[in-house]
Amino acid sequence: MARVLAVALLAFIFFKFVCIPFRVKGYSMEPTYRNGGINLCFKLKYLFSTPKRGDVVTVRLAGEKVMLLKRIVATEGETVEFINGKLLINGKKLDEPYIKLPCEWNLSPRKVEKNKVYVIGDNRSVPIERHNFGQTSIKRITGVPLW
Amino acid sequence: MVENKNIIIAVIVLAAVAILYFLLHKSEEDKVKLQLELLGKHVSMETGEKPVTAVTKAKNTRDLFAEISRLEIPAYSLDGSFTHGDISSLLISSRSYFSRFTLEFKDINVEITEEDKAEAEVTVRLSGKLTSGERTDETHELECKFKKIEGEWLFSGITAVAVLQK
Repeated sequence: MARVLAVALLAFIFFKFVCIPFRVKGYSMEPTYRNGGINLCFKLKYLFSTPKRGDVVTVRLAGEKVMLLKRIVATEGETVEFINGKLLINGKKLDEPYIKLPCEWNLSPRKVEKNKVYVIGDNRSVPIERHNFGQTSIKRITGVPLW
Repeated sequence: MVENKNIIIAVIVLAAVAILYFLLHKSEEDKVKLQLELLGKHVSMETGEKPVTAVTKAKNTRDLFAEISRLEIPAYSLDGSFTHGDISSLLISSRSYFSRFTLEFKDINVEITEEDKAEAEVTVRLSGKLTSGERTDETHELECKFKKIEGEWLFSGITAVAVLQK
């Protein structure tokens, strides 16, 4: 009985504070993460490091039951801009091998504020006004998908 | 022996009463959560919804709001004070864009700020299909304000939180 309780307690701690199971709902990270895919959000990733460009992260809203899955494209102080679908960081085109779908976005330059990162989904085939992206506080980043 | 038996029965009865109390008792926070669940239920729309159902749902939704409520949701170009009539019209007209949609509230954090006022931070998920055939799947963080009027928690304001700023 004690062994069962210990396993249950360990499982609770692991799935609550270390790796949160989640299911991808939506298409904003396609083709990297498909709608319906199952994954784990590793919460300890940034315990001793800071989020960097290229990382795919989970962004908290009111809680951790529903989060946004996005990719960091710029960090504080950097300038983000889109010209004819090409992403420019500090005026230089960023190499993005993970982008497989066509993109025609245009966005005037904007600077990432202190303690914030700029996140975008990998699926930029939808019109820019229908894609949820932008800068967010580092505090909202809860972890990274495990695979 | 008889005394022991009576004590055991008394403990069982007390435990049953305590369990029933925890199961049936609704705290003020629970009542606020219920209003959010009702809003999701009334606003959601199934495929082939009949006009009479839409009108009933619009009325039920309207009744969850105070006489005048403040709505600030830039994604839907909402910014201002809305009366019961405005909310009903808004709900009826917005249904024409969808063939079906579901509104769900998750991660509900309620705080009773005063005896007759409450605030809730929530994540709202709107998923469905537009009449044009396109899928829609949106997630927003909202701050909801409530006023207790005649014993009922009514929405007095809903503000969208800018989690991502373009």
